[in-house]
Amino acid sequence: MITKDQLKHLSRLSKIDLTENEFETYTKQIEKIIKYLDKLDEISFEENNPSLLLSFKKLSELREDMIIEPTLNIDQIAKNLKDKFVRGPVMS
Amino acid sequence: MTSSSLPVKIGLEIHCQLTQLNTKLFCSCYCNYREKEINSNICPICLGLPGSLPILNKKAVEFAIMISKALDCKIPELTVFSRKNYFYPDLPKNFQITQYDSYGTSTSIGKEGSVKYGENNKIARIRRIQLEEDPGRLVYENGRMQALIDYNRAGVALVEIVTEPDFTDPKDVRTFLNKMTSILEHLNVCNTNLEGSLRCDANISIGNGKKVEIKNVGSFSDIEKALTYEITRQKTMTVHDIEIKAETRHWDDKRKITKQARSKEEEEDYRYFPEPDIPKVLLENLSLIKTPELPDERKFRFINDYGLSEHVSQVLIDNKDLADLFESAIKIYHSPKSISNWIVSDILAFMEYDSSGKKTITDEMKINSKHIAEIAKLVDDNTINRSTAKSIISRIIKTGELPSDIIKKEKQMTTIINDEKILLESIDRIFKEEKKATLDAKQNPTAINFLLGKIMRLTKGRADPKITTILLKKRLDEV
Amino acid sequence: MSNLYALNIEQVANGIKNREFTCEEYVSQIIERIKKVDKKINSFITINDDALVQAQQIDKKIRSGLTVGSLAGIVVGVKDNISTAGLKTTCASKMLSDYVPPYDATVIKRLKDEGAIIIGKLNLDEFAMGSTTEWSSYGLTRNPWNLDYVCGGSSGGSAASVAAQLCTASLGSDTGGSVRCPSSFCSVVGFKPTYGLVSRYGLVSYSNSLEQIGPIGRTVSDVKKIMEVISGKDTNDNTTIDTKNNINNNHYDLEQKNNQKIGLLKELINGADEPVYQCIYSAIDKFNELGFTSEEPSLKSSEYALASYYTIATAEASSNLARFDNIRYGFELNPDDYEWNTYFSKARGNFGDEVKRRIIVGSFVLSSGYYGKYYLKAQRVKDLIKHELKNLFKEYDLLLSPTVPVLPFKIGEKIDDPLKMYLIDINTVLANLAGIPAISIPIGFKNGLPIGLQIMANEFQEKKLLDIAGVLEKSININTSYPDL
Repeated sequence: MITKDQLKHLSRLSKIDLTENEFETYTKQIEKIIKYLDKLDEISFEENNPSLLLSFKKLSELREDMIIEPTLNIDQIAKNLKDKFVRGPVMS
Repeated sequence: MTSSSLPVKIGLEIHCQLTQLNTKLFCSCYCNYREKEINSNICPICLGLPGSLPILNKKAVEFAIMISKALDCKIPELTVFSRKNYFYPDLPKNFQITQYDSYGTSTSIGKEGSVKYGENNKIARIRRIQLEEDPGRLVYENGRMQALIDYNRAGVALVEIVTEPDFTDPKDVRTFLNKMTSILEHLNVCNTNLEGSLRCDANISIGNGKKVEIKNVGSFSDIEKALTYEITRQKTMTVHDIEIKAETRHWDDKRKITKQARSKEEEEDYRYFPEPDIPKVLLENLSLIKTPELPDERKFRFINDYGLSEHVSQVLIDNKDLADLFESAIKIYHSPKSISNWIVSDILAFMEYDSSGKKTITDEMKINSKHIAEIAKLVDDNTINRSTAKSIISRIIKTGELPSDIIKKEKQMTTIINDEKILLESIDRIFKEEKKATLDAKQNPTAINFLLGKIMRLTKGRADPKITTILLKKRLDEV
Repeated sequence: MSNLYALNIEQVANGIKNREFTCEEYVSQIIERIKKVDKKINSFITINDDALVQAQQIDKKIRSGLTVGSLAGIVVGVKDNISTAGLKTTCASKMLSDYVPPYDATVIKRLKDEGAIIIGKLNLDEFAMGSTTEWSSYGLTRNPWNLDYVCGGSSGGSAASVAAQLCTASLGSDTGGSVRCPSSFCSVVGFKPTYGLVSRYGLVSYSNSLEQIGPIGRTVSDVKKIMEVISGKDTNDNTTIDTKNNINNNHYDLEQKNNQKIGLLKELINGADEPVYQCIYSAIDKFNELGFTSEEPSLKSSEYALASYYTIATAEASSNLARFDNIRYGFELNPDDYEWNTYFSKARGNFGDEVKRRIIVGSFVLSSGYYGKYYLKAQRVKDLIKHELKNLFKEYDLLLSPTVPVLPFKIGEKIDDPLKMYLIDINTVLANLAGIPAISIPIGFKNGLPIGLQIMANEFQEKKLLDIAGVLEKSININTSYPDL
């Protein structure tokens, strides 16, 4: 059961504004989806069964600590700049 | 229950920037972001552009392993990175790539270690060490609270060291932090003199009550003050039966108190999960990663090989710059006791406190090992006396002149010999060595200068010229 | 020469090199055709204004006798969630309506290095979340074979444009079937590589542990040619793998192998609609004629595949899409005087419905108290599926199924029921969960609507898969017709 309050909490956690309408529609739809995901309960695994297939990288294969001169210009990306700082909203 | 019987538990969370790396943790931008133009040290990865992927820095992992080893931690076979999901304007991806142990797994770079510190070799247990990335820097526009963000620092490698709540006395915390600083310096993973390179948060509870987190403390001496204040605050509240809330408090340096941080809406749910873009890393051949000499080893060597006292050794290793100065100076002039004393009693006095509350040799101080070796030798030879030496040191620090040069310029600095008995001894000696010149001088007054010169050489310029000339003439008559 | 847009890669490449026609002619015809046809299907979001100039440059190089790449002059369309420097990359979302990347994805760089011409950016379900391209904020893409029907998704534009001959080949991305599903619905060939074979650097992440960029073409041979250029280890993507089993190695000799066995996955064929499974069985007959024996093995864990997929995919998506806060890039919305929580939430309200739903479900399955029940469990199921498939590949050379259990359906038919929509992916998610290569090839029509056959091989068996698929393609031989647009 997904309640509207749970949905409100999740929308706050995900920082997404939802309209009243969306709360109504989504609650039902999401509840149905989660119910389908509950299918996972039907299958169980032995407790300490580690991941059967392990993929990894060796320490020696990692990136060398060598500088690549930064060429990215902040003006190319961010439109809202002040003295080269990226301008954000008001901090509470 | 009296307040004094309430047990105090303090735990620490230390964030150490790996300033000695060349690049950031997940990209090849500069690690050293200080003094760079705003938002000029960025790339698609550290700016969090869509489609960018993190590429792990090998050396950062090696540094973290060295720290784990130095703190006697267990290192896992495989280390794994995780995402800590939360929103904040200084976080380019709105998640931080860090390390997180969950569900009984233990995959951060180190765990269950310990550190000895203080005179009585107290032990602080290390719970966990993890690698993670620094966020960007948030500043506020002109008094308003509008955010201005600089991403130069975003993605710089941090090692977080979490201790068990083993501390009971803020003084111990201070001592421990000094020890940690020394270890990190000796490992050459962090230049602790750089601003913001070493930060520490604390959590404290009394009487097994709720934990209070203290953040935003600028220096290690402030941590001691903050903890002392907090203990008093909590004990007072307990005595008055006021409930202590589990909360985060910030240190207000101006008013010298801790105050409640702006309350967050609710407890943050970080929804940790393993970072899919970074494979697990197999940590093999760890024996090939050698740690440089650690402070304790070095201190042992100072005491045993050089005969230094416990106190002097401790001061030297607490400030790695001084220990390094000492070792290079004794290579030039092997007199460990006197050189170490000069460093500890005199040079130290000139050093300034840096932002972390540690004394440091600044770039403005122009003194090096050659200077110190010379000073020590000059005093040992009795060429100059101690008070002269001290004044010379002060001058050297400003100008960088060699002591021998200073002495040449300032004749009166050397210990003037005006003792007639000593002078006569020198004169007689020169007469023996320079028989011909002596005979010459008897006839020819100008040849006296030659003899005078010899005497000055013999006394290293310290013979008082006037008195010596008078005595010289007198003696010549007697010969 | 006319109808240059109908040629395959080899024909175009040779034609240009041998000066039978110029690259400029070929590209002009394509641009003309896009202008004429695309308003009917809406497969493009952005057209590259520079394409004709690039074509002229290729011609110039050839005239001067300089060497050109293996894909010189070939027109390739790119799904709009793959970064192209200087060319708007929107992911079909309002959140990125103004975003122009400053860098090329690795696959784009590799294509360009071989002389390919990026003709434009193709429509998709917003942030690759969907199975019909109906979730695009730039309008849906219609099926070129019947304009009232969906073209599949999420790489709908990539498949439809190739089917409609608006580009010679295209790139899509496949997280749960997003290359194969639209390829099946549009009667073209779509391929999802082994996980780690193609760099994801530049692909806007939806579910990073499951997705791969994959080519779409009108023939298996075209798809193979694109794969040869884009695949291979990349230092910009730590999840790419060095493999000796890559495309260019030893030709897989069909004749040499005896006792080749294919397995038609029982659960998957049983879940298909009648017109679909009838067509599939005809394809199996063709395989038998070619000398393969066939059986119908069971994949027990397939029952849980979709639940596992949507748990993992939404979880990763909820985190991957967190960066879209409109601070550094996005669309026009002045942050002045907005408190930061409010600003973030308001900006992110501009995600479409399906994206919002998936982010919320993803946050849910990762949240405190539910992580073990959903996310961890889903990972265990993923491992189990991979394990079971590996075991099947010990016995079978290839595993088959319908790409999609149903025929293409009418636009709007499933849009109100997210779960019904998710069931479209039920056959394709297996290959993403297991990280194995999978291809969809067209095998027939019913009532004018295309049907596709999915063929899967063990990881890094690209060569084997593509070669056998090519042989089957020849024997089925249906690609002689094109949609009349």
